[in-house]
Amino acid sequence: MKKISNCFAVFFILLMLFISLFSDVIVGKDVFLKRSKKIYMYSPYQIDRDAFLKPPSKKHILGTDSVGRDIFARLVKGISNSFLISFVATLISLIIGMFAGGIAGYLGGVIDFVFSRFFELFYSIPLLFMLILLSPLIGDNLFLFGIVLGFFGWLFVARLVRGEVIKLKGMPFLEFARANGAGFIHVFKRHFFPHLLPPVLPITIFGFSGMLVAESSLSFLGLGVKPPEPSLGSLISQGLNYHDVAPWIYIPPSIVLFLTVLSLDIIGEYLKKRYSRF
Amino acid sequence: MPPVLEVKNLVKTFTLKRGLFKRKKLFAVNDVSFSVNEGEFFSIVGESGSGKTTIARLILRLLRPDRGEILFKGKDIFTMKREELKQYRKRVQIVFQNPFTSFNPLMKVKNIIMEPLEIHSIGTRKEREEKVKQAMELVNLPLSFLDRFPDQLSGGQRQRIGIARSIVVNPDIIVADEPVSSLDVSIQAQIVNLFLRLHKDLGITFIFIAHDINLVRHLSDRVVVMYKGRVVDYGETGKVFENPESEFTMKLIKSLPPIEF
Repeated sequence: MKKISNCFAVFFILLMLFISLFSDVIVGKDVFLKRSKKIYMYSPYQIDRDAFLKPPSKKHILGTDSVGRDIFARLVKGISNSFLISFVATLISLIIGMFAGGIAGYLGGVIDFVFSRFFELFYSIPLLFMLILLSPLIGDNLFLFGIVLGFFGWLFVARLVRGEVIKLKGMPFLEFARANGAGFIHVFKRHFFPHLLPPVLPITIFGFSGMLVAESSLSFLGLGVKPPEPSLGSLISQGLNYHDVAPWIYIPPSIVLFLTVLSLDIIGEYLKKRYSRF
Repeated sequence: MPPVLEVKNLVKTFTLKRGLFKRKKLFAVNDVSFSVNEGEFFSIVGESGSGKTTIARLILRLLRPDRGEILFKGKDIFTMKREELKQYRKRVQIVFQNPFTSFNPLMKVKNIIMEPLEIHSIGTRKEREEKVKQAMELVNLPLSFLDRFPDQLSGGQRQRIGIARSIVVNPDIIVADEPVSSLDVSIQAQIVNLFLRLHKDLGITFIFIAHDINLVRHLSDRVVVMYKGRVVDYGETGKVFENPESEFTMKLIKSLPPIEF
């Protein structure tokens, strides 16, 4: 049973990654060209004037929305956008978190004190409020949106890394390496990295799914991805307006979001068990 | 025998924080001088907090002294630069007190013992493995332990791994910081005999730090007795313990329970 769920999770994530990487090939990115080089007939922005709120059919495999845009095309593009934002956000938060936490923990003393107060200061800033303030700045730039999300997501990583580094740095085995004149690279490779990997790896993966949800909820509130650009969250929020007449708009993105987060959590849990010896 | 390590007027203070502005200086090592001859079994004795471990850390250059110098074959170790320092770090190795924290719990025994070879980039992969095996044989550990993790071994076995790790680079000096005080008495004897054997067979100079007078008396050629960061007695073991100069050493000897049969 466990094996099946693991296999499913890996397969599903790979599928999603494939879709998000090749979304341009599958549905194209142009508004007007009907049949440029793409696999699926419709593009995410293209309006079919003969089909408003039409249920799934041969022509539109997942139906259309209220302005006649193809749901499947929008879903593919939405997955791609959401994954891009989450990926950038996770990467940014990982990099900042590792550096800040590592430096604070390793150097200690005054620097650690300053860093820790800074963490707490950052922690007290409400994300939603900042995003509302920054939303004119972000505009429809997805990268920027990912970066801003990442800037608010690094605290967790930083705390974890800081704690782990503080725990490690007083250990006699590091002292032994230092007494032998080991350089930073050796100490990092042999001692810090193997200890940091088991907690950081699952945190990264959980963080990724967390970012996915955060992006969706912000898009749901209209603070994330700006129309006509689709994302999982904005698709769900749009679809909910028509939930009784056109459930095919919000159900597919909800299922995708649910399964993605579930799969990521399964993978994270597996890696956590796999890489920690205790 | 010429002195291989000379400690001259060494002073190391630590600043203790008490409250916001009050600072107090603690003289962990206060004007300590002694010299260690080549190939001898030298001991440092003292109660806890007397600065023994600080001296060990200074000898390993993990700390810098406030004043004074340590000469290794006539050269001050604190002014050594890159290549010289590297050589020095290879020549002087340490065995720690607590065998439960002195190894990276995620590394296998063979990687633990191989670590100093890696740091000093000695030999190829195969030569390193050969050296690790030799070291394991020298400390009487079966080769089947190579693929185990340190937490799967007992205290005595771990301490042997600690010793193997220090002798693998053929050092001149091994600083052993209370290597037996966290072990059972029966295991202590084994480890101590191992030290003596390595001392005799490989001609390694030992700087043995302990608080157990009986042990030191049994082992060492010469001894230094420390009390509150100062040297209170220094000389050949027999002389020091037969007529000690200081009251502290006297008390120390008197505090030993008499052996009655």
